[in-house]
Amino acid sequence: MDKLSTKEMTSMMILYMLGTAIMTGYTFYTTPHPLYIIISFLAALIPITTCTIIIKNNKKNLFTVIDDSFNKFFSKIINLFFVIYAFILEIFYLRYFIIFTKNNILIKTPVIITTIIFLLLIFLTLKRNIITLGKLSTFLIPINIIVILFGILFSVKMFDINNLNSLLTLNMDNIYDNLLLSIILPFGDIVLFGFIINNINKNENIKKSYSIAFTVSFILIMLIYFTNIFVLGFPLLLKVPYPTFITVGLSSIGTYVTRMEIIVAFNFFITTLVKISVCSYAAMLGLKHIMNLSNIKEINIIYTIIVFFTVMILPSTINKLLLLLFKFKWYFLFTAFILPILVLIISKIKNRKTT
Amino acid sequence: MKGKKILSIILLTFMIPLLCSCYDYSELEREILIFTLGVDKVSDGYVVSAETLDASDYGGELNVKPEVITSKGDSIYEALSILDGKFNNKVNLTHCELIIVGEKYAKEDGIYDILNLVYEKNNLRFNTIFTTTYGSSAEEILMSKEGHETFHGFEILEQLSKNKLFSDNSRAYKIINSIENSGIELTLPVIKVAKSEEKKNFYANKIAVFKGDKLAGYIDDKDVNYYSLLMNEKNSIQIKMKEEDNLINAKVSLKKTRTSIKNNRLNIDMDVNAYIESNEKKTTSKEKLKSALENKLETDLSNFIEETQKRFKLDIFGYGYHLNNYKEKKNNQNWNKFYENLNRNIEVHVTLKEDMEE
Repeated sequence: MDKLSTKEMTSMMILYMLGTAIMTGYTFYTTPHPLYIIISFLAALIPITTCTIIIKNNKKNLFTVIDDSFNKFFSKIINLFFVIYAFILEIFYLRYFIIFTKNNILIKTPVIITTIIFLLLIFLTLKRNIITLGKLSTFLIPINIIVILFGILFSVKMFDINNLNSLLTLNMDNIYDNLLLSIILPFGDIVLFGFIINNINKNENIKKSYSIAFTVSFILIMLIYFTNIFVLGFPLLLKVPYPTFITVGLSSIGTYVTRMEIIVAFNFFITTLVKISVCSYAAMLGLKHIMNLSNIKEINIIYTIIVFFTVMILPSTINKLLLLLFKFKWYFLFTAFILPILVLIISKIKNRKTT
Repeated sequence: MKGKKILSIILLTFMIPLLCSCYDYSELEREILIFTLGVDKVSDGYVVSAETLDASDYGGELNVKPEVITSKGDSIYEALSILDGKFNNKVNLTHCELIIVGEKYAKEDGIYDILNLVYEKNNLRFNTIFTTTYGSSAEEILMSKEGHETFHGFEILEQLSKNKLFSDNSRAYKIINSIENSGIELTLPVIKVAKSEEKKNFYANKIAVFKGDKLAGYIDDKDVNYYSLLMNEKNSIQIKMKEEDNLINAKVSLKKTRTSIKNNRLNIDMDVNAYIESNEKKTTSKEKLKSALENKLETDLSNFIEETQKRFKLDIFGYGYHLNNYKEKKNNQNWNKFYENLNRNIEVHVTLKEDMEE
C-alpha cells in the first residue's frame, strides 16, 4: 500500500484544520472572542492525544483497533458512528462551500453543476487512495500560507487598533446557544485523521505531524481572526458570513489592484477540497471495514452519489444550515471526544489481558 | 479503460458550462452601472436618483456623458426595484462608490435601510462612501447644473478628499459599527449645492451628527476645522488670528488625548501643539503672542466640546469607545449621559518659528 511522508501528512493536516476558518477565523461562523479559538484548540488536544496513544500502542489505524478491541457487533456499530460522523461533516462542508460559491463567485451557475464538479474532483483525488491528496497538499500549502500572509499585508493600512476595544464590552454569555458545545466542537473533527494516519511512513512521526499542524494552523487562524477584527471590527464581524472574504475585498494596492477577495476564495477552495476529501476517505475506509470489502474503489461511486443527493437536499442558506448542524452537536461531542477515549480504555484493557 | 474514457467524457461535458459560463451572460455595455446613488424622502414616497453613464454612438464617434435616472416608490426598496424594472433588470449597484442621503430622509427614516443593501448579494459594496445633504435634496445635487460634462459623484469625492473631511469612517462597514457600538456616534460629511453664480457645483465642508442612524444636526462651519483636529483626521490645521492688529498664522496639531474615569466622571486630557509660522507686524511681544494663541485655542476647543455636550448630547469623538476601562464599560452602557458630564483639561503648547524668536 502506498504511504505518505511526514511532510505530506503534516501539510494535509494543516489544510484540514484551516478548513472554513480561512473564511471566518473560527469554524462555520466567526467568534466574538479569541478565547473561543484558544479553548477549542485546547479541546482538540483530547482527540489528538487519544488517537496518538491508540495508534502508538497498536501500530494500526483506529478502525482496525476498534475491530480488534470489541466484538463483531459492537465494532461495526462504533465504526458506523465514525462513518456517519465523517459523512455528516462532509456534506455540511460541501454545502457550505457551495452556498459560498453561489453567493459570491459563480452567482449565475446552478448549484448542481458546482456540486457535481466538486464531487468529481474529490472522486479523482481519492482514486489513488490518499496519495494524490498528500502530494497536492504539499504543493499547495506554501501557496496557501503566502496568500494568507499577503491578505494580512494588504489589509495592514486599514487596521484600526481601536476595534480591539469592543472585546472589552462584548457579552460572551448569550451569543450562541449552548456555548460550551460551540467552543468544544469546532476542531474536534481532527479525530478523523486517526483513521487514515497509518498511511504515514513512520509511526513515530505521528506526534511530530500533529504538533506541527496544531501549532501552524493555530497561528494562522489567530492571524486571520485578528486581521478581521482590525479591519472590520465588531459588531459587523459577527454579522457577515465570510469576514475574511470581505476584509481582503476591502483592501487594495493603491487604486490599481482592487477586489482581491478572489485569492481568498482560491484558498478556501483548497482547504475545503482537503477537508472533504479526508472526510470522504475516512467514511469510505470505515464502510470498507464494516462491509469487509477489499478496496474502497468498490463503494466510492455509490458513496459519492449518496453524498451528492444528500447535499442537494440540505438547506440553501447559511443560517438554516447552521441550525441543522447544531442539531448534531451531541452526536459530534460523543463521536469526536467520548468514543475515542472509550476505544483507548477498551484497547488498553484488551492489550493487558493479551500480555 | 472504457470506464475511464466514459468518466473523462462526462467530466469534460460538465466542465463546459462551468468554464465558459455564458449561457446567461450579459455584456458590460448593456448593464446600467450606477456610480452615485441619491435617496430622498418626499411627501408621497421615496425618490431614488442614480448617476450613470450615457454612451451614445454618433456616426462612429463615441460620446460619453453622465446621465441621472430617477424613480419613485413607497419605500426605497420599491423605488430601486422600479428603477431596475425600467431598464430591464440591468441596473448594477456593485460599482456604486457614493451614496447621498437626502436631509429629510436621514432625519426622519435614518440610514439603516440603505446600509442593509450591503448585505444583499450583487448589491452595494462594504466600502461605499456615505454622505448627507444640507438645505437640498440628493436629487437636486445630482441634477444641479444639468448638461454638465463631469460626474457629480466623482467631483464630490474629490472635494471631500481635498477638504480631508472624508475618511474611512464614512464607509459602509465603519458606519455599521459606529451606529451599533456604544460610546461613539456617527458623523458624516455633508454636501451643499453652490449658488448658481459660483464656479463650484458643490461645497463639501460641513459635518452632520447622527444619533443612532438618524440625523441629529450639523456642526457649525466655524467648528469643522476643530472637529477635524479632534478626530485626528488632519495631521494639523491652519489657524489665523488677530492680536493687536497683528495677523498671526499658526499650525495646530493634536499631540495626545487620554481618557480616564475620575470621581465617576469621564475625564479627557488633551495636549495640543501650536506653531506660529508668521506674524505680520512683529510689534507684539513673543509672550503676548503665545498666551493669546493659547487662550484662543483653549477657549475655542472648550466651547466646541461644550456645544456638542449641550446641543447634541452625543459623544461624536468616541471618547467612551476609546476608553480602556473594562469595569466602567461593563457598568455604564449609556455613554452619552457620561459624555454630558465630561471633564476636560486642554493644554496648549505654543512655539514660535526660529526667525521670529528675536
